[in-house]
Amino acid sequence: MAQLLKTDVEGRLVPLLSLSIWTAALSVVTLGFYRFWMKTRLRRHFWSAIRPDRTPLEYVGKGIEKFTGFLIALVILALLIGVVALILVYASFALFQEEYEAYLIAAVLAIPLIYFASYRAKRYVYARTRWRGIRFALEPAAGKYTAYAMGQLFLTLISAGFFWPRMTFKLEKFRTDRTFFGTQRLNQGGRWTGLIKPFLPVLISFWVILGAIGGAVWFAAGEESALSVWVGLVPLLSIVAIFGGLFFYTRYRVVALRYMANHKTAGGVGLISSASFPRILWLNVAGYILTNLFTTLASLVVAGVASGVLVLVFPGLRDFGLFATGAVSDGSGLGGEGMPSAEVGVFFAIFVYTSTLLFFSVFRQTFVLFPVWRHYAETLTLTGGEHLRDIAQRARDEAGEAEGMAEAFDLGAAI
Amino acid sequence: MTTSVRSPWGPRPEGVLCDFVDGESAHRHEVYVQLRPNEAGLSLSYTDDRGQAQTWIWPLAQLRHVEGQTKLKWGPARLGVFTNVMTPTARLYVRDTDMLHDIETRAPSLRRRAPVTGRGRLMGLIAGATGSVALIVFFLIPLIADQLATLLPIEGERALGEKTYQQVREAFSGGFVPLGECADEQGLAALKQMETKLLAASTLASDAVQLTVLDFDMVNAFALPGGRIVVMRGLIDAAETPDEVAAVIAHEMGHVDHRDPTRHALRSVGTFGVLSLVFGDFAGGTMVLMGANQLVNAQYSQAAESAADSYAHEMLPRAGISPGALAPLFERLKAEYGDSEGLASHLASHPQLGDRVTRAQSAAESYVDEGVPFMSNMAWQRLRQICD
Ligand SMILES: [Zn+2]
Repeated sequence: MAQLLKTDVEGRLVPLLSLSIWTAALSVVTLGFYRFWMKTRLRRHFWSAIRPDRTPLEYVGKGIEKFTGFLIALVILALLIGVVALILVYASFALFQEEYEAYLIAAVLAIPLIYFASYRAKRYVYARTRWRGIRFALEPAAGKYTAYAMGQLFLTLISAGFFWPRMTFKLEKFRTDRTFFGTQRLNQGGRWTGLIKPFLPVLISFWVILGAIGGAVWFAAGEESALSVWVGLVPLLSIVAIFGGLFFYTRYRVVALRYMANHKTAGGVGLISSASFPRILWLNVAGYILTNLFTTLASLVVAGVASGVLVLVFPGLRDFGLFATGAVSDGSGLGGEGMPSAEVGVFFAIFVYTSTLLFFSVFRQTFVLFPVWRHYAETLTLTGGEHLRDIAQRARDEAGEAEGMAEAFDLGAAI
Repeated sequence: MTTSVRSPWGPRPEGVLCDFVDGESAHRHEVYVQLRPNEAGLSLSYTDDRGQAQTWIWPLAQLRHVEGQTKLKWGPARLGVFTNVMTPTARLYVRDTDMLHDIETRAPSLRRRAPVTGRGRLMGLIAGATGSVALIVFFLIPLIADQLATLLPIEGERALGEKTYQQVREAFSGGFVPLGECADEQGLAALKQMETKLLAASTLASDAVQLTVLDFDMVNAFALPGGRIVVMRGLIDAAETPDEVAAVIAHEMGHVDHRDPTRHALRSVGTFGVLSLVFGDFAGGTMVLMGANQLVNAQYSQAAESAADSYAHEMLPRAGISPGALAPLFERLKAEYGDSEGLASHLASHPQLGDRVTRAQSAAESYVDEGVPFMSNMAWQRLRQICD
């Protein structure tokens, strides 16, 4: 008798909207230092909205933990980033008279660090997640995970992307097999080959793009005039392949998530996900349209109000009217009779920039991330609910440095 | 539901049906909750995993909200999540409105938090992190940047300068078109004439400096890595004689000779890397804007400014200009804008503006004017119209 337990989601947007607005505003006012508490509050909100079998998930992390973790990571990373960035930029200008090389090397150096940080971040989040009072946990293995991920990445690279689904699967299995719910270790079943089929269209699009670029380079070098018609088709073909690739990759992500979920078990308890790709696609498209619409409106209102203030303080801006903020930010309303100074201009440019960014993140959270999160949760069913009684409590894992390093790199920016 | 379903023939416990987990297993129990006024406690009756009937008493004073779950909703109704400080992993989920109301009005310390620990450690961490970031930003990065600046080949310096030049033009532009370079043909010829004359009087190589005028209303001039010296139109407008402009440029040539801009640009690369780490991604764009502002209003060290001034004082007489040429411009600016208020420029925002005027005047005392104008009146008029 396999008991099926469905998941409910408390999905109203208004409380989330107000929470994200005031926490984001505080973050800006505190020069970004409130961001640790902001993320904690948002997580609590997201977690407790999800109620598998009627009991809400809990996030018991604390802003202060994230802050201290960040401070610890900062000491190491400040040295690394400051000095390495400096030396890379120097070397790159000295050798190539360009700075792209510096970015490239920095990116390559950053890859293992990112895997390392993201594993630690996950470990902290698991250690602070509870359901029915029972703690989750992820075994400490960040170093091993990084090495493993580098191997997978290498394999993917030399196979021109063919082993990408293998990487998706193996990395997820690495993490899942080290995850605990209470005393129960989770297990990732299934095979990576199960992900090949949904990945094939992505791979084909990718290879078409590679081929198009390679072909263009080759034709440009050889100047075969007979094939010039073909050359004209290359840009068109690339654009189609890029859009096709993005579409199929989004689909792959959803299908892979479903596949991985359906093959996860925790003892006798299993999962069934019926997340739908068309639904996710629609949520993203509609969500981003709303996000941009609201961001534009909100920014216009703020710029309008700021213009009013500016015109009152600096009479020289009267001719600009509602566009005073814009004129001050772009420099055309500076330095004249009764006009603000350059410092005020820079200040307003920063103000317009940060408030736009702020609105964007707030509305994205409300209109894209939360609905998508809600859909994934709503389509999740637990099987074998009668086995939950076999799962007992586990001891608390300090996960002392919290997500310091991930925080510094701004990983897992979503929530 | 197996064990939590009681026999329909057995006695039904009194109380309100709620959900309960004991914090020991992941099994959810149906629990009958009663508020007992005399004992000031909540009684929870349920059947445990072994099928035994259990009754827990939670004294009201020990009841707590689960942090972050004080205002949960279940559809239109509320969902209360409670725990007991003595069994902090046990949870009571209450959806009954009356019971919720009773608990919330009578439990005295639902919102009390566990005391904060490790304040000393936190303070230590904050101090340590601030200290080491300060050490890196104010000591280590300048040290390395100064070393690297002297090692950077001139091609690399020029490329770096070109990059920063484009950044400045974009940062001060309105919208998508970068700030315009002034390119009136006769004006450019006058500018070139000034460049050649000043270079000849200096110790620099004949291609070490390129003068550019940007169409911007700011009384400013600044040097970039690789020897580009940018003069803003505002400076030419504010100057009354070509000598005043030349004196400012001579000061900037001093910076070029001492490689101050390159040092500064390399420093800011490291510094902004660290600062964007500290303030997080929200500040990413802010940093770019502030970075451009920094380049334009570069505040070199006092020693570097004095060195550039001395350089100018030394070379200006060779070009037939009094070292005191800087003074009248500064004095006019001071009269117009106050000491540094309202004028964002590395030329004038120095606190010791007065000092510099005095020093320029004393350097000028030994100068003998030979009566040959540095630039013809016609060339000066053309330079003034370079942006038309
Ligand atoms: Zn200077």
